[in-house]
Amino acid sequence: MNSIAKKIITYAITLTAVTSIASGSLAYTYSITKDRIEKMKIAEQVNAVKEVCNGETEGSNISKDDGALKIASKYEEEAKAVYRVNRDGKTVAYGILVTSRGYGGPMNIMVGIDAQGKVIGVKVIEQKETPGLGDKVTASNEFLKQFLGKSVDDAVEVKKDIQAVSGATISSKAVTRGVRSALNAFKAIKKGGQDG
Amino acid sequence: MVDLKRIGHEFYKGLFRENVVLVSLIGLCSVLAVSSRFENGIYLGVAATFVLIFSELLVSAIRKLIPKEIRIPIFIVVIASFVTIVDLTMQAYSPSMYKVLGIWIPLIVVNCMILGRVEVFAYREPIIYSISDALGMGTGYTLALLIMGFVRELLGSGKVMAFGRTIISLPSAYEPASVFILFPGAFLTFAFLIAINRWLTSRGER
Repeated sequence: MNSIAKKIITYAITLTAVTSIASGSLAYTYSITKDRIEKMKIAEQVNAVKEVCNGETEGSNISKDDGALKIASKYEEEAKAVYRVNRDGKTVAYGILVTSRGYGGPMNIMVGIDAQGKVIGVKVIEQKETPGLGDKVTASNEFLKQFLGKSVDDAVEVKKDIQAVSGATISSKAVTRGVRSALNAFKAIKKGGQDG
Repeated sequence: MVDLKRIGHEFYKGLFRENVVLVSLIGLCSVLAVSSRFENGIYLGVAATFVLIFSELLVSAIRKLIPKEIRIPIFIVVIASFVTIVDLTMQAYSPSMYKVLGIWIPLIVVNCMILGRVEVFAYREPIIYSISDALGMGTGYTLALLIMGFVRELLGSGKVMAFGRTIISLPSAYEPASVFILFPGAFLTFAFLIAINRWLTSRGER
């Protein structure tokens, strides 16, 4: 009995020591890489904003707007980040990052919306759709072009004003829902801006 | 007492004669999945070798303090810690590659090669031989990945790219056989590699 108790205590102490050292070193690694990872993510998103707001970004600066995100996510919880494209002190376009549930997992979609509330670009940044089928939605310009010019008052729904990519209905619906969320978020930001 | 000859032996055995991928047939899942491109092999190979070296080093250093009954959980904690360090570092410094390799980096934790070498070798042997073993095994793993990636990318897409440059390309008359990029091609290439490696090593023994 005594020796068993001794063994158990030794094991417990050894395991505790190993795991605490491990978690300590992980916490340290995390703390030194955290900022850089965050920066890289933002850089990638800013690039996406440039792509979806083409034409509007020249001579402008892009800034992340966490205040707007707060307002937007109250109405539209799929909104994950809001970028403003500012020129001469005026916001000429918004880049809104939304998530949407696709066939293979969450998709991250950047939607560019101009100051009048019209969609000017859509880009799928991250997706896990089936290669060769679902991921067609990310490459098919024909499909993504359909969103251009849509505003919050349009239906933006598959079978109504959006034609799904054949063989990729679920993925098409996911992208469409994403654009819908971005438009809703845009509306919330506009409304929130008036209230405040 | 450091036996130089033995250090060499522990290193060389991992390259061909006891190659983890081609002879022990361990850790195949990641090899078959990732080797569709040559460049992937460089990153995954280096990442796995890094984890292997440090895991073997650490386990070998503290092997006398690890009670036999709880060695496996300790190994897993050690390996998982190094994998997470690699994972975070890669995410911070090479996000584009991190995206391509995606799930395969965290999955190094369950790569049998690493747990296997730690259990079979590092837990019993002194540090210096463990490092040599890890270097050899890691290099063998990386070599297998690179050769597979090279053959598959060359035959599957007609050219081999690395770091944004084309290393070699077949004449345009060659019609790329995309089956090599897909999984059947992985198994085909793999079978040929095993056979060639067996043939070469057995010839050397005779």
